Amino acid sequence: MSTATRPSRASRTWARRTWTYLCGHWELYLFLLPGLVFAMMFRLLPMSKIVIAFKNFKPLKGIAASPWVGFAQFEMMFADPDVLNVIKNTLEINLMIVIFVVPLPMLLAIMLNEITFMPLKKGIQTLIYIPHFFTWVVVYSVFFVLFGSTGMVNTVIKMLGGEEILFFMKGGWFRFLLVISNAWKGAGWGTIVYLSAITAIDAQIYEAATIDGASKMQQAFRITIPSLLPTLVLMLTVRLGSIMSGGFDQVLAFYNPTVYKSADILGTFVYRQGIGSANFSYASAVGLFESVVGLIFVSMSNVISKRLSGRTVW
Amino acid sequence: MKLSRGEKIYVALLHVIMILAGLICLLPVLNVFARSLSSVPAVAGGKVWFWPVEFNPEGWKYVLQRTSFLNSMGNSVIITLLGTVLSVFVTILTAYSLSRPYLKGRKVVIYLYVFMMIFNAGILPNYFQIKGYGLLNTRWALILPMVVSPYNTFVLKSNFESVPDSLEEAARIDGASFTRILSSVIIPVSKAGIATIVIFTAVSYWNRYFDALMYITKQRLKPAALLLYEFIKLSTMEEGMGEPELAALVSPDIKNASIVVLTVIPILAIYPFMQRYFVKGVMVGSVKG
Repeated sequence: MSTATRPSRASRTWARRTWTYLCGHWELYLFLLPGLVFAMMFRLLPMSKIVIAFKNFKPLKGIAASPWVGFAQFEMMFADPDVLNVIKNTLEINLMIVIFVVPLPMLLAIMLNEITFMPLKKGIQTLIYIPHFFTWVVVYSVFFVLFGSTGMVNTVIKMLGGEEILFFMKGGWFRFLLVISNAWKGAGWGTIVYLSAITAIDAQIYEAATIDGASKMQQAFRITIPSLLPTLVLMLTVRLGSIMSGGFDQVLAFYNPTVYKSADILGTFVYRQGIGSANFSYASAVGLFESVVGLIFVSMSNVISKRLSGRTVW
Repeated sequence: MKLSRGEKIYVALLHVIMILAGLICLLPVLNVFARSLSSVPAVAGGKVWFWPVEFNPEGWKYVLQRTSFLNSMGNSVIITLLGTVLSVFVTILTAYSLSRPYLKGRKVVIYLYVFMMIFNAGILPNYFQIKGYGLLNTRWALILPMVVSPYNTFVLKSNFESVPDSLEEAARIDGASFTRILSSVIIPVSKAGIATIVIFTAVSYWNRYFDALMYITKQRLKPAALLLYEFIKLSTMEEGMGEPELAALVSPDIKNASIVVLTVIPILAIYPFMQRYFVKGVMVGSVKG
């Protein structure tokens, strides 16, 4: 018998070794199974429904029977002034948050670290972490009460002789609300990462600086801030990575038709077009655009953060 | 060591700013709380600041007795409990397997999880998938899609990786199975990390409202966050508003404030118990690559 028809010795030992390995480790593969089943059912199979974006989907016909239209939805999308405006809003709102909100926790952490009276420090920490645990709907409700026409802010404005401001109806003010509510919810929580980074700074550096006569302020600017910069850069790149999808839960909770022009973002547009107006294929196309460009941004931000800080998100 | 005059001012300023930051987080919530328990004219006249004026519990009574608030709270509790148990169970199993460097093929699964983390099918594909499973208007639609969390899996995986190998090796030599190692060695020494995952998962289940907005239209199945959304955004709390004696006691402002406060109270009630764990947990979360 020729060796070609028979499994070679090497492949037989390979098979045997694999079998022994599986017998020894089958539990570990079994452990992966539930996760993979859920992942398959609720994360991967939905991706097959993305074909809706390339069809003229009619719910009564079903996805398979609806006619293919190729990239027609995408051509329509890039000619749609609404979509272009929505893309602009998405980038602008997310950039505002990156610039004004992301660096805030670092500053708060540096200040918090100077508080040496422990009960006060713990008390402040307790307070500033709380809003992180509120859903965006609660945050919206609190801001709605606070900035509404009978709310505290307008009461103060009127007491000072000013005119009532319609914060939820004027585009510029509305974006202001988005930024400060984002800071309110997340800035305190964000300090945790920086506080742990501060404890990692060598205490001897501060001692040496004190002996050399550096003031507390100089120490903050020359030692603490430079040591925290890598963490800040990491946070900035991570947040930039979600520039396409970021802010969806927040804007959906906050906005209303009077500010669509300046506050509608990709996610909310897709939701209204798809679920609200039943333009399924068109909304799917815009959604796919969001996901794909988002994927590019996340991958880029991960490469950058790896290069800058040696850390990756995953 | 003495501080110079300038340093004293600097430190004092930092204290003032941080106390202000604390107050900025506290006072808005306190204001909503005060409004929810004040009289109609006091709220309309802008007289309520941080303590109820002309104490009036009718707003709370209205929300508790004449809306489906309590039922929605029940839904949120069911969804959060079931979802957290299921998700944490699946996450522990997956994270343990993926944390074993000798597991063949684990790279493939890790890449799959990374892919799921950075690419989402999108709102509509997910909607049609859930619809296809016949899960619209069921609590499962709010539980099952969130069971797999790549982020939590990676956090827990790095946590398990930091358990010294010698512990596992000792148990292997004694002939323990992987199931036994996981349950009697790995989990007991990773309690803090697991507690963190429990908190993250529970908070995420409790706070989600968007999927409920899409998948749930039956009033009796709505979770608390969705009910609040509809009350505040769509002013759906009209029940009994035609009755003059009720309108004198409860204005829309008071109803809104009441439901916000009642939604927040459970979170504030368990917050002190969570606080012990999450600070440690976020540090676990800063995954090193």
